[in-house]
Amino acid sequence: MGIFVIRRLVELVPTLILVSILTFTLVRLVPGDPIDVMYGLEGADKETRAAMEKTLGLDQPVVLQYVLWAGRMVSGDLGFSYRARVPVATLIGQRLPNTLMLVFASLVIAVMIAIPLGVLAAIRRNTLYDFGAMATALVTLSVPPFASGIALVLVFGLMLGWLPTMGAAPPGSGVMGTLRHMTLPAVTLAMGLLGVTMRLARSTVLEELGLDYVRTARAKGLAERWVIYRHVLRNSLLTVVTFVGLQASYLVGGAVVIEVVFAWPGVGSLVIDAILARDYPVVQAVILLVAVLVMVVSTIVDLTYPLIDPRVQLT
Amino acid sequence: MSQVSTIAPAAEDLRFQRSRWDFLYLASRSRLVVIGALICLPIFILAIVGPSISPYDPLSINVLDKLAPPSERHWMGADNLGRDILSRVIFGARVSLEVGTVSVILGLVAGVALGAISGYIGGWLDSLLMRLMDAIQAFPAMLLALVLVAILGPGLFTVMTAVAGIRIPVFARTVRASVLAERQKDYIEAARCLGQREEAILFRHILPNIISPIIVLGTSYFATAIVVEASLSFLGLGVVPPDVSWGTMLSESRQYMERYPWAPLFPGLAISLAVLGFNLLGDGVRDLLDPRLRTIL
Repeated sequence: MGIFVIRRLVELVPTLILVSILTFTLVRLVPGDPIDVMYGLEGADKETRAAMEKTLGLDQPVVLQYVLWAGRMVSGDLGFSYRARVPVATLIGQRLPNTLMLVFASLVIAVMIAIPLGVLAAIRRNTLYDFGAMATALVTLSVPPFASGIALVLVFGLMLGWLPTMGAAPPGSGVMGTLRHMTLPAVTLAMGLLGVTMRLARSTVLEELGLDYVRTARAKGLAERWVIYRHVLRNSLLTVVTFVGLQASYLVGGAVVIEVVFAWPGVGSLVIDAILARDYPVVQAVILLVAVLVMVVSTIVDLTYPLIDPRVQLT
Repeated sequence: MSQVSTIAPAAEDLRFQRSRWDFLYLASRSRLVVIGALICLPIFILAIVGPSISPYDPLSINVLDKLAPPSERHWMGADNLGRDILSRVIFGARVSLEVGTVSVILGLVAGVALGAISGYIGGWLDSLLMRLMDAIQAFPAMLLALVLVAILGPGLFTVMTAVAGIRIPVFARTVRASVLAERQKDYIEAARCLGQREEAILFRHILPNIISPIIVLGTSYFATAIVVEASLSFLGLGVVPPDVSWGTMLSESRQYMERYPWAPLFPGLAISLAVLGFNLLGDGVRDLLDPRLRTIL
């Protein structure tokens, strides 16, 4: 186990280096001069431009710029926002908890709804319920998140007035206030995951139901409820839970759009604003951070596999 | 010998034609394919003949019809600039299908090339390419698409390139896996013994034999490509006028949707219907070409 963990962490290093090179290169390729962006319409004179180039390290060769930038990233210095004129770390620090909260809430909603519905569809295979559940899954998969978000805003926010449609809860709103503000964006984000998880839960349970040990359990007279709860679910849900755990990348990508629909103050809306304003340090830091987070989450899911299922050996 | 060489291609042609008819027959029996086709076919027809049947120019502004409700004059109403929503939905179908088709082709060409080279040549090149694909896959697809569009600038073709680019790692990985499995088979060894060149083995033997997963990949991505384009346009980083996007229409309608709910309703329905149709079609084709996957999803 220990050797596997070390090997897995070592394997992360080259990918991390490649991710950082890609991030650095991609953002450098975005057209437009950062100094022009900083000084806006009035522009910078020759001396100021030269001084700024020196301060930002833009007068150095590109390879050296990358090395310096990577070094700063490792030490936690994420740079300075051209637009907000504050350290990028401060901006991300303000926004990241909101995004993580949103992603976590949507994950919980998706799991709580999709797994029972999917399992029930498998148990009642080829019935009207199964057909209805799978049709629902297909519809949730087909409606793009921003379209379902707009529909939810229109119905539950504007027409019925039950839930707030914009932004996060102001400080001091309490748990209920936070939950009320988060409900619509979290449900919208969960909808994309709902369909896939339902289908996966159904198919894994179906596969398990066809195995010999289930027949043996039934043959020895075990009640169907026990067969399902004590045997089938325990063995089949591992795949589903692992799959859901690996959806961090999808959810963060989805959050980018959802945060704009609901004016949710997370890193998604921060990166969109930064791209539109050409605030490169923010774009660079957010992209790198998100990619690293996705890689770390995937590795953690990999490593927790034997904890969930003792039959799995890490080699 | 010469007789064998003239008969063999004819027999092969006949077999190919038969398998093509078999596939079409099976497709016509598949509920998913039939329902998907019933949804997608009208969208394709709309996209092709759109300019001739569209009641208005999708860009023509008419302030007198500003936010007009659905009526005989404007079947789906008009937006805040008095532009006919039906005409814009029709022209939006064109853009969505163009993006779907071109980005799937671009993504497949690049992904198949990288995956085939990586899987067939192997060694350090395979390791390097696969690590690069791992690195690209670490970025959430939507975020990567946004950065690519920011680099390439707004416009239809750049959106197509970005939508294709984010899928290349998935295409390349799947093709590589198929090539790795195929190159171990006896007929490849036989072709090598006959003295065939490596490129010929790859292009004439391996690629035709892994066409099923490639078609499955392409059809499954079509719906996603439409969603990514609409999302980019919704965020203001997608297609720009004179092209019309369902995503842009939805984004613009948010400002006045409380009082004029038909404005987001029709483009929203159009995207959802198109994605549903292509998802059904993709699932149907997948079930026909790769029945093993049916048990997974």
